[in-house]
Amino acid sequence: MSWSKPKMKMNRRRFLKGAAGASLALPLFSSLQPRSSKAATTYKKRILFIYMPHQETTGFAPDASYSFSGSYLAPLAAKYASQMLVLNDMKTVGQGHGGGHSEWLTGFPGGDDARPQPTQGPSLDVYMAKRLDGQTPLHQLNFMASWRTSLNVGVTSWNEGANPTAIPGINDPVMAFTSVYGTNPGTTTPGQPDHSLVLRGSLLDALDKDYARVNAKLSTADRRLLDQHLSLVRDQEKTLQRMIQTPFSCSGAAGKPGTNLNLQDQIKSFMDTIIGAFRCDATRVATLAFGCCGDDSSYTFVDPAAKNYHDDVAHGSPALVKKVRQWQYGQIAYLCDQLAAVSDGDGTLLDHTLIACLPELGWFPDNNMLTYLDSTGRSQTTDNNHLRFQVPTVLVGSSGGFFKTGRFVDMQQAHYHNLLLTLAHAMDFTDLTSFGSMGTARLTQLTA
Amino acid sequence: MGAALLLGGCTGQIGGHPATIQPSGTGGSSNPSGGPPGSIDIDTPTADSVGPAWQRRLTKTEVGNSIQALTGVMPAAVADLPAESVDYDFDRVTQSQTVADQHIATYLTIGDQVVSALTDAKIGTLAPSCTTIDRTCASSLIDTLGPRAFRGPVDPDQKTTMLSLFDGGATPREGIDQIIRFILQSPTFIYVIERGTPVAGQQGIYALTDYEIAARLSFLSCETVPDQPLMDAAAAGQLHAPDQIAAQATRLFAQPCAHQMTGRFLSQWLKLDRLTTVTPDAATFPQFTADLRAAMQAEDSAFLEDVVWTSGGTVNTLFNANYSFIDQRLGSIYGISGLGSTPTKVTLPPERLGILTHASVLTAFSNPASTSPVRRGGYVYRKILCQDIAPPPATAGLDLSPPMDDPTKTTRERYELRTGSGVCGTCHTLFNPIGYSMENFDAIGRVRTTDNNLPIDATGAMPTFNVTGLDGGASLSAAVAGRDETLICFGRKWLRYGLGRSETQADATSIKAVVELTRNSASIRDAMVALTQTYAFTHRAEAVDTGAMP
Repeated sequence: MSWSKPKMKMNRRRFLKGAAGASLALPLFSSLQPRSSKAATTYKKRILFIYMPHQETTGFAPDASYSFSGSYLAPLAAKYASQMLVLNDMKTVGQGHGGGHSEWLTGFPGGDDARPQPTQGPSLDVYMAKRLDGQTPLHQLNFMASWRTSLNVGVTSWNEGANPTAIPGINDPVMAFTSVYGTNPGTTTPGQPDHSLVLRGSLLDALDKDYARVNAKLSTADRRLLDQHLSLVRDQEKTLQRMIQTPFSCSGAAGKPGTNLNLQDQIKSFMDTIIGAFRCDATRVATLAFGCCGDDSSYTFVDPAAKNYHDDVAHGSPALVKKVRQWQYGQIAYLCDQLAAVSDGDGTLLDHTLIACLPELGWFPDNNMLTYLDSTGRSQTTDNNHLRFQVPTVLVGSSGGFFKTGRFVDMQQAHYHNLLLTLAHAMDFTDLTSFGSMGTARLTQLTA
Repeated sequence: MGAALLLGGCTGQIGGHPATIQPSGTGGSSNPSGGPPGSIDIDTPTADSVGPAWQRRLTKTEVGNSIQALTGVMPAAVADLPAESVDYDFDRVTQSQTVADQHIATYLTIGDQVVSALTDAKIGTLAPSCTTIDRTCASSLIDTLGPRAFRGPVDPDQKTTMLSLFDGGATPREGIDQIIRFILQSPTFIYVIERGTPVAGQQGIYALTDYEIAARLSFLSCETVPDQPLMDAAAAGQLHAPDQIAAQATRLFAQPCAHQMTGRFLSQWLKLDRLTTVTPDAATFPQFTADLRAAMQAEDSAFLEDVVWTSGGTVNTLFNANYSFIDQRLGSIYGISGLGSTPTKVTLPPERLGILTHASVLTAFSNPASTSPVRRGGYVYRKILCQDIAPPPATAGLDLSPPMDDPTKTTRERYELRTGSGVCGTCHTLFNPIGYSMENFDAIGRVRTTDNNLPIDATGAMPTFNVTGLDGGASLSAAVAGRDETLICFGRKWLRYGLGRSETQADATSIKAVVELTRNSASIRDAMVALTQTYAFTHRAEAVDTGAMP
């Protein structure tokens, strides 16, 4: 049940296909495995989902001897190959920017490119945050490095239920920082709140009253948004109260970021905020998007020709796709370095953090011509490089020995939704029996 | 009606029952366009009725404009507000709105930024008694800034609340800052709160107050709080009679901001923004550059501005204008030489007519390396003619991938093989032939006679309306321009945009009032003003709780 019969195959360029086409489980670097695979977790597990805009391409995976010398994952693999699980060829339901984006953490794709709203929530990060409710001061962090014009393309996280409401990621590093540390970190002592907090508290209290006053005059249906607004104002009040009563402190936190940061500094700042929050156990679930659905940010700092990620890179040049990805995985290496430098329980923070790098679109060959078998078994060729017939993934971290890392695994069309379910199990939510529209079984080929 | 029967399984119940309100995205699982209601029969009279909607949040643009109008400050944090959803075609439709943590956090930041940008001297200009920053100033500020920000009188409870916020400040200035923060985050500022007065004998229907009508007029025309003449007219009770409303609407529509509004409405209806999201394949179309894209956009803007504001054009003019505005960058695509660097009015070659043959539309509704009769036909059928198409059925094994490349066939032949018959053909036969008629244009909008070195077949039809004999994009444009469905579609979309909510059958009479004008060749500008004369513009219906909301 956990294995789906391979339906798709690449034409000659089939990506890293072994000679026999079988699963290519590369040698396990057992000596470098995390020390323990204890049944009982004695530390707190964290998870970070990273949204990688656009497609993966040739040069994603290691070679047959698990060498990353020709791969754009090299910056990460140079130090962390033994902690990585590199997966290729999972199947999905959604196609295109819209399908990929909405399916990303929900497993329920919906809408189109302009409106990538899933049909069902919650997203996996929101699910985990709810399960961990009350264990940390913050539910989760959700940051997005850039937005395009419509709200939904900037949303990776969704509330529960059918046609779920959006939870837009914070796209301002200062606001992201403030969401963890408050406006004046380090200046607040219990019971003696910063004066600005007192002012904000009375403002929120006044707004609370005013929303309640207005809402009372409207029918339940008429005040749909206003009720939601009031409840968010009350959340702010609660957060403020908590900051006043028991201020969250995190010594050694990175400083407050500056304003108007460029993309590199934004991403670094988001990472620093997440690392700090994990280190001080402000939350255990975070989502970071390098960019939005169909990201069109400038990557000229990687290459002068990469003026527009969507036009010049994703549609323009496979070489630039690799360069941008290489830079992105370099940032993830920075993140790992920082996590590895923090001791946490019996190991480091990196030992206790699972990082799931999941792309928006699928894998594509350099010539953007994909040959695949359709549902009737006919061979098809398409120049539509927005398809998700073969979705690859990079996981970093064993989640306490749950995953058998240090491998490249040809997933042979195992379902992406089963990966989502498996990530939930890795975080010890093993009572979850299904996730997404097709996730019903743990991917046992990945586990230790 | 015959057409409706013929459609059978192709018209889905997309986005909700016409008589009720559905939450954003209902049906969105399979409807790529979002959730607008299904068919509306404007000839079924619905006098004294109006479609329901819940209270609308000001858009990001409206918040920024309003704060600038009220305080003279445009806080940078407005840019941090989440972008608006574009469900229901437009960015200001209440059914697609949400409110999230980032809204609340950003409103707080916006408040902080406004008060730090306001000097004491500047505060002195906001209210008559603020030469000194004290409690008298506070009261005066509430009475001056409050009504315009709230688009109506300040509630006594609000004033009490604000004065106690003032009293909680460590200094008078701190107290004034708190009042300004409160005003800019109050529900009466952030939301378009409409209550009105109950209409006798009409359960759940309310006549809007003069202030509520003032707010509708102002947010519609200029996306900002009402100006002083509008506030004065509302205070004097002069916004009830249709001619008074028309006079204000005409005044407001003459302002530059109304030109921008018209551009936004028409480009969102016509999906012109889609051009920014597509990238033709560089190997197939090396001519396509960001510069060329900008030229296509410049053509559209200049054309719409001319049709609405210079030429006094009609809805049909959008589709059958034999002229456009081309610069030298586009000249090579259109085969017109001798042009300058800014768009110049030219007579179009005979192959082209109206917006459907603009390079922008032809490019936006193509695949990267080839045309897409499905996209082009679906666009005209659904967006311009407001016809519903149900999403592909959830049949197991139904192959939804694009047709395979085949050097021995034209694009038309490939699409015909894939979608022209069988399960797919059930619906595709209704709109593919519309797209086929545009096959004489390639994927970046150039006229062509061959495809894959094979002769083009650009004959087409609109089977739903028994229109046959189309041949080429210009013939399609002429056919679209003559259709009542196009005018009804304009009326529906304008009501949806103008009122910021999805239309329902209950709006039929109001939509018809706008459509009747367009049937009589009224200008787009007059048709737009006509919306303000409708029952739907001056009334509201309580939202219906369908029980389907989260």
